[in-house]
Amino acid sequence: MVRRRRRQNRQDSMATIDAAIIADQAPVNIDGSNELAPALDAQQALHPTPEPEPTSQKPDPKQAEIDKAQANLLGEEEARRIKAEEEAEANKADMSIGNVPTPGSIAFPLILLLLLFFILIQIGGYSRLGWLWLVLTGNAAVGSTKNTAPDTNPTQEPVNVSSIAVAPSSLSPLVAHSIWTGSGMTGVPF
Amino acid sequence: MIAIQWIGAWLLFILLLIGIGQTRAGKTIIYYLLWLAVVFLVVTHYQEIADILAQGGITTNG
Repeated sequence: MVRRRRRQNRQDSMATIDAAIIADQAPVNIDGSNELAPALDAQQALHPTPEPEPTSQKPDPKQAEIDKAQANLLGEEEARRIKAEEEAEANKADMSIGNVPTPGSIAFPLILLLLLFFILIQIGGYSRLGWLWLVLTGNAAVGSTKNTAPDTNPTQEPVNVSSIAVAPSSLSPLVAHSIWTGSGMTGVPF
Repeated sequence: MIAIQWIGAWLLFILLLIGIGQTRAGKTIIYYLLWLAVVFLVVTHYQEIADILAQGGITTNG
């Protein structure tokens, strides 16, 4: 009901504007006179006969045409957004959680979170991305607190990791201090 | 083995979140949960972030 009234108001406003423009641009002959120009009934133009109210709830073909033209002009996504906005405006009482605005994009907090979590914040001396690299390259293991290097502890006895001397390595700077530091990750000292 | 289990659990969790995010209300929920996570992460690691900013954690040339 509210939408129908709004649509009617919008059509009336557009008709008024069109009539004003047409009245302002009344055709003029080359000689400057407008005797033969069709007389414009400004009153009629300003107050067009209102269209009959649609009796059923069928979608208005005119409105569908407007929607289609809008979609062509603005793109599908923008047209959908505008339509959703109009619907939300017409149905102000709907305060469901889906109507809470989400300014910006969902990608912004996601990227910010990933940047902080994986790169900037370090745990056990390395960022999580660094630990991932160590695990993928076989220089650290998840869930084990034992030294896994076979040559440094051939007896396979548990090793007190705090006593492991970390040899300087020229292979990768990430490996140099990758011993267990309470993070649940175990590195292999070279 | 443990690593595979963790990776599987995380993949399932991410798929669940994507599924929730497909709905209109779910998108709003996920959006504000992400911002909440950012806030929690910053609050709980404020010292490290302050160190990064203050003690040359970000090194520039010169």
